Amino acid sequence: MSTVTNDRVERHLKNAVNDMVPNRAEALWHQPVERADETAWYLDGTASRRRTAIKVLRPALAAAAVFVLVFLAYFLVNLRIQATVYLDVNPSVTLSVNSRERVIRAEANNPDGRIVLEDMNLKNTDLDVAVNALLGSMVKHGYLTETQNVVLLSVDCDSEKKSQTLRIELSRQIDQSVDAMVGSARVLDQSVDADEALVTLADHYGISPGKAALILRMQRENPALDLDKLAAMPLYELASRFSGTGVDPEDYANLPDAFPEDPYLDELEDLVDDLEDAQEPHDEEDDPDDDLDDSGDDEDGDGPEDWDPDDDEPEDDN
Amino acid sequence: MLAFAAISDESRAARRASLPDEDLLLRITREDKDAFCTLYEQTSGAVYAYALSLLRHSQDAEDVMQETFLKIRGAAHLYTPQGKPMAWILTITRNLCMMRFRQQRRTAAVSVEAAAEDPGFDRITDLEDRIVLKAALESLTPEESRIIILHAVSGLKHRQIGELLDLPLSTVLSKYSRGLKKLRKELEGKL
Repeated sequence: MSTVTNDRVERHLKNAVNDMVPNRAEALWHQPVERADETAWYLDGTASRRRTAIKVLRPALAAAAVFVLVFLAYFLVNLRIQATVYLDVNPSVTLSVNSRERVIRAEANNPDGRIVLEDMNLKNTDLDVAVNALLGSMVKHGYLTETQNVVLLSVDCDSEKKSQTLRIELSRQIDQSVDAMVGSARVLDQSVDADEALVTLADHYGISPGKAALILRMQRENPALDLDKLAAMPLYELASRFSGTGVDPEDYANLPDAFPEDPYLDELEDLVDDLEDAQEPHDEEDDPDDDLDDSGDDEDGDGPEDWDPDDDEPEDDN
Repeated sequence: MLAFAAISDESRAARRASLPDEDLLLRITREDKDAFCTLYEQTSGAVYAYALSLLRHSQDAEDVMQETFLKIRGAAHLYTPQGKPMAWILTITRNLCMMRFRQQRRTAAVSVEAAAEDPGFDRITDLEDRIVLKAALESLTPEESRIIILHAVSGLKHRQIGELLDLPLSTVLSKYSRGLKKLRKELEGKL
């Protein structure tokens, strides 16, 4: 008695069936047959073009799915913008960073920003390195000096926790770097939510959405201030011009909440609409200093209520 | 003479093991009798085995097998070359078996019992061959026996059997493996 192997079992089965099959080929060839059409019931499932197509495509679909997943993972980690960091001195620069805090894109928001960014390739650079490089370039080009040492840091990030972390880390780093480079530093930091309206407004003024958010808050709380003139001022000037007026930019940045409820947001869209409707919004613009020259004459220094309003305020027109 | 008969049988068995050339179907549409006879020799074992595994009765399996070849003659012009003539043929076989099921209301359980008394098994000349085929039909689940018999007789790969039976490859492989194990155990001491 020999071992029962799989091969042996299959061989027995094959022989058994072959013995049972009658040879009727000749007889069947001579029988009359009906020519079938495609609707013949016994052909169900034989044409199956659709299934065949799916089977042929299955490997391609699987490969495509893997590719999409890999790309998605790569995109989420490396290409997706997780946070946007705005630096304003007078040069305004926007840094878009991924989840690994590497720079995906660096953009200048105004001509000074373009000067600062000139010849710099910050792509794939660590955010802290990029910020340092930008500060160094600002010092080199004379935008940051011992007396012009105010930097506005704005962070736009969906994650509140991440936003807070970036603000804390970067503001400390900027403070230390600028202090080391020019002897002193003042950093204003804030969280912003740069929606379309804010970006449009920022583009209009050639500033970052971060600075746009700041001056909007200032102007909203102090209607006497002129937005055009605020937008045109470098950060150090914003800080120094309003010193003692009760309108300190620092009050409008450095807010404890990562996402303060911006009262300006309700009116922002109307403001943007007005700007867009205006044919030449800067045609009648005065020298920004004209409106602010008197600000230092606020003898009692008790705030914006006593501060000399702009000449073109509605009250003056009447 | 005996030697010639032996060679002829071997040749026939060998041809039955190989998958048919789909060109045969094209030639059948041109009324090529040789092509039909060749196709019959190459595939009748698989058609019969599949029908037997479904119907579990030799006479029913034989009827379906003959009907299958008549349908092949009538429908060869509708065959779309896809490199799978065996699958096309066995799908026709399955449809004919299903129709027979519906007509006779014959259940698999009854067929298993019938298999033991089926006179068709007397045609199997070798006792061990007969024991193994009966054991496959009686001791295995219908799906296990179908997979094992198709694999042994048709020359189809497990993947192709899976496509024919609409089963995932993993299921075919596990049922094949489990079925053979059961069968070997069943045959212990009998061969």
